[in-house]
Amino acid sequence: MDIDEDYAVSAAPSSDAAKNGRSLALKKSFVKLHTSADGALYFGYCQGSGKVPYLCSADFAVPEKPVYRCSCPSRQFPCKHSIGLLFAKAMGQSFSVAPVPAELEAKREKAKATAEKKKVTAAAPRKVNKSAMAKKIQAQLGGMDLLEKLLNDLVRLGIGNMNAKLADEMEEQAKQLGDVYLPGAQSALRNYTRLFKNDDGDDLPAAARESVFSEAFDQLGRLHSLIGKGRAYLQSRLDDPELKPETETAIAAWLGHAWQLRELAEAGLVEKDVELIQLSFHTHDDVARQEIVDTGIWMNLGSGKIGLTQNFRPYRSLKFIKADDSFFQIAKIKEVCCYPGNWNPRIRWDGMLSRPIALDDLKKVRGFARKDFTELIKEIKGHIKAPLADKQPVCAIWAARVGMVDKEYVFEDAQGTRLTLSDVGMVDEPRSCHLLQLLPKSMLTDQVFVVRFRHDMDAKRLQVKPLAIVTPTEVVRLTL
Amino acid sequence: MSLAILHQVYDETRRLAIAGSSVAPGDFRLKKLLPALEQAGAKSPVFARLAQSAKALVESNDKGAAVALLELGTLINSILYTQGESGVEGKLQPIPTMDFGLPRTQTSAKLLKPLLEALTTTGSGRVEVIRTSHEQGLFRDLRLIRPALQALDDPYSEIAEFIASDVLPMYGPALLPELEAQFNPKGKAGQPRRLLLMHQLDPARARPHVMAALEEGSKELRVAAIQCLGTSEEDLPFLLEQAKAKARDVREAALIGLARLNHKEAAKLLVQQISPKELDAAAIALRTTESREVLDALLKQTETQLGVVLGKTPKAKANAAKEVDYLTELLECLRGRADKASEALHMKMVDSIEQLNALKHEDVVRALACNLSEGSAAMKKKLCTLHQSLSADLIVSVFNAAVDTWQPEQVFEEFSPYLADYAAVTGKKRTVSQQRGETLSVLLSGIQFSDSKAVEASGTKTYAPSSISKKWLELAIEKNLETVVINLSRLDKKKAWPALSAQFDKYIKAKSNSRDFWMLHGLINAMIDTEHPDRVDAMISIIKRLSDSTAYYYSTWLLGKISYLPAKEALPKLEAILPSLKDHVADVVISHLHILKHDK
Repeated sequence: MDIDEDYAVSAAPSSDAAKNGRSLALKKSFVKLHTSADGALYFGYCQGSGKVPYLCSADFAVPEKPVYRCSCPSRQFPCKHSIGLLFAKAMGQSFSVAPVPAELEAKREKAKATAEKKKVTAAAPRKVNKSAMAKKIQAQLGGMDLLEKLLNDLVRLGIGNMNAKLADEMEEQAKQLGDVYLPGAQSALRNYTRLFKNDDGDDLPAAARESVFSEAFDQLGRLHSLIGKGRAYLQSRLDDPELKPETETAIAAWLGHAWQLRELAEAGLVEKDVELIQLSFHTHDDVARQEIVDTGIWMNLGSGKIGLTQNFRPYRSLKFIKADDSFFQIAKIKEVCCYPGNWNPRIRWDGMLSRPIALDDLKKVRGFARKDFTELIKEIKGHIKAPLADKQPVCAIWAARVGMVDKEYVFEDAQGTRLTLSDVGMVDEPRSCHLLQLLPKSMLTDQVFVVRFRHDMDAKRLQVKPLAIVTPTEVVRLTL
Repeated sequence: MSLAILHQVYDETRRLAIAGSSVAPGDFRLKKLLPALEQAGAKSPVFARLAQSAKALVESNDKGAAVALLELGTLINSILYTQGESGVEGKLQPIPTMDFGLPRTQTSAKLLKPLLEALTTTGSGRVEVIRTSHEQGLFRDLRLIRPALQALDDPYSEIAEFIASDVLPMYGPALLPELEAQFNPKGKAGQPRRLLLMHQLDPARARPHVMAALEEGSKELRVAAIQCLGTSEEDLPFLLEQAKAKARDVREAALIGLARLNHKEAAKLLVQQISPKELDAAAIALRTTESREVLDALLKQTETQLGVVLGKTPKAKANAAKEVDYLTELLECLRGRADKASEALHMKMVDSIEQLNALKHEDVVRALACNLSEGSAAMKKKLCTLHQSLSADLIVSVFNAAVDTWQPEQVFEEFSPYLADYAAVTGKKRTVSQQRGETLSVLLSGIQFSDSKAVEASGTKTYAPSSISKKWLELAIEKNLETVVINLSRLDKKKAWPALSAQFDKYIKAKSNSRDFWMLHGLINAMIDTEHPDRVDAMISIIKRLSDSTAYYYSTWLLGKISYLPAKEALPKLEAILPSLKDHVADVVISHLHILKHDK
């Protein structure tokens, strides 16, 4: 296994953990450094604050899924000692071959047995507790009734009469949706109520209030569709207990179904031997979900399809969940699971290897960029018109020319069809349009841009926001 | 498809959603659209559906209105999603790019996060993170522009000032749209900084914002706005008015603006300021004005006041101290002037130096010496001849003038006797010559060379290495003036090395007190700067000493130059001692090792 310092940094859960791990390796805090006879396991004893050194290890028995273990009491995972071990290896410190300690061997055996068992369990047909499932669906249907009642109350009240206090009261009632297994519906309702509050939970100023009316109007329509489609979906599952979660649309995720990789694999939503390149990465605070979300935007180098990785970190456990990071290599993955959804489906995988980006990879990305704006715009409009569709799809486009008309930035394709650029309404990432002014001129002709689309209801226009530029030699990221 | 009718339906449905569904049944505005919708529905099924939904809403009752409104809203939104414009008409113009070099955007989120937090949150330790990141060039990442702009409002003014003066200007005029978007003429905190920055980047474009700030801005913003005036004659009436303001800072800024204008009326007002009462607030304006009229008036008043002070009029005796203070202030307004008339007046004052010294009022002589040292070549030469007539603390101005006008050897011959005298001091008492020597010793221990990397603040006097004779170093070694040897060691490395080694041995073995560490700091820096052959071992001795003592808090300061050591020799030695070091010292060493490894 090739381990360099970048690998060690990427394995660390935070910049502090990486710094501390490096420090341990440099200070030679590892009393002993060993490797197993087959070279798949690195382990060592690190002198910590206790009397007995900690036994830490990095197990590459399955190279795509390294396992880090340590006898220290830290709740951070992997801890600084395991990261330090990787740094020690990366720095070329000497690892002697030694027998694997019994306690570690026992854990490896146990993990191996668990993995085998998992394989068997995965292969075995799943037993469904039909009565429990029916009870759950009944509760969810009850939840849909509640959501409908709340929605009707909101519509009777009117968008103009909403305020922060009412939004709080509504959110309080919406908690019941979480109790009846509808966290997705709860978030959808919060997406509406959050429009009427500022970051401190207070009322918006008058001018800002009016600017959210169109968005609020759209959100009401979404909630209405969610109730209609969700109720039909739940009823169909209640009627037929053998029915699997729907994979044609994202309705299951809308209601809050947490897809397991196994479920996705069973539904055939898997792609084998895939190479992915990350084109953009950002972290945003999703107030509606009460979570920090790390989102990576990736292109499949085989198909050109753009998918999203999403790492949800609930506020209450931020410290203990590793944040995702920007990724500057090619991810080589045996099996990528794709969530239901058609434009930018969410993707996940269980383990991966990596290799450096080659110029040929960038050539492929550029080759997949859409050159005909007219056709693309038609497809995008067809996609976003569905009430429950992702309203801000991402796409790679080839702009023959980039310029300005009056004060607006414009992309133009070879046929002269134009797309205007805007940051309005796309708040998850920082603003990026103005950054075009800071780029070399060479980057503004015949260039591939990764863009996010959005239809602005007030301006009645479909606009794009640039997220990254893919040149023949590099990916220039414009957002974070 | 008729877009107009669709937009009308959208507007009416949105209006009802804002007002609440209870007002929807029977709504006459929506009702009015029904015939047109039904007519269009005969040709298109979409319109037919829309007409049906709209009719259902109009005909609904209080109970069913909410659902009917939602149905219609969802439908019209879906339709309009397919009807959005996507382009814009007009000639495509090139984007006025302001490329500041290839952007470095491949920095990972994990690395940028601490910097982003430092820029956007509060708490201690942020200045260090921001300064270090700036040194490492992280701000060249385009994505940091917005957070850096937000940091202009940072409650810790040191950060906000650093960002305004060092970080943001490097992005150039491309920053203006963002600055304009964030500018609020009624705001406080960072708004004056924003305005000054906009003015610095593009005075013409910033003009409307300057005017808005003047009209409706807070006091801080108005002062900043006034500082931006004086580039156009249009400003004259406003500046003349503001020059009479009660607030001193407003008055001062307005006078500076007037001085920049170089207009007849402005000059007239500035001349009026040359009175004992107004002079203080007008000092900077009078010093910077290019108006000949104002300068003549200032010179005339100074000459008159000199006459008053030297007792040529009876008025002087009554209020002597005030008169001398006024003369001093007038002289300060003439600082930096090198024209013939100014030169003549200063020469005349030098002729009266004995009488001025007799006033026992050092400030006036000091002001005269400063003006001479910053004036024309003739003024500097005149000052050089005065080193025996002036008090000891003015020897610095005279020395500087001498360095600028004489040969290095002549400077040494004239001034070195003072230093030699000082080296012979045994007790507390000093002769005037020894006092001058002591001042020179302090100066020579701290002078900064013009090619040094360590030049700290702009405006600090720097010296070309060739302007200082090597004999100063030889004298300092001979007289064992340690701090002078350290600072001048670069003038002759090989001669300095044995002296540096001897001093280092003395202080590394000494008991731990702050002076020892202070000396070690100077010594190790000098050894690194002169590429002393033992510099790596010396640094290791210091590291061990710190790790063994309780004075570990000196680590960051003392070990700051590890990264300047030769990597090939230093890396293995430093890595070898790391395991034996205490954590706090090891952490500092590690942070430098990282730079040493990656920069070399």
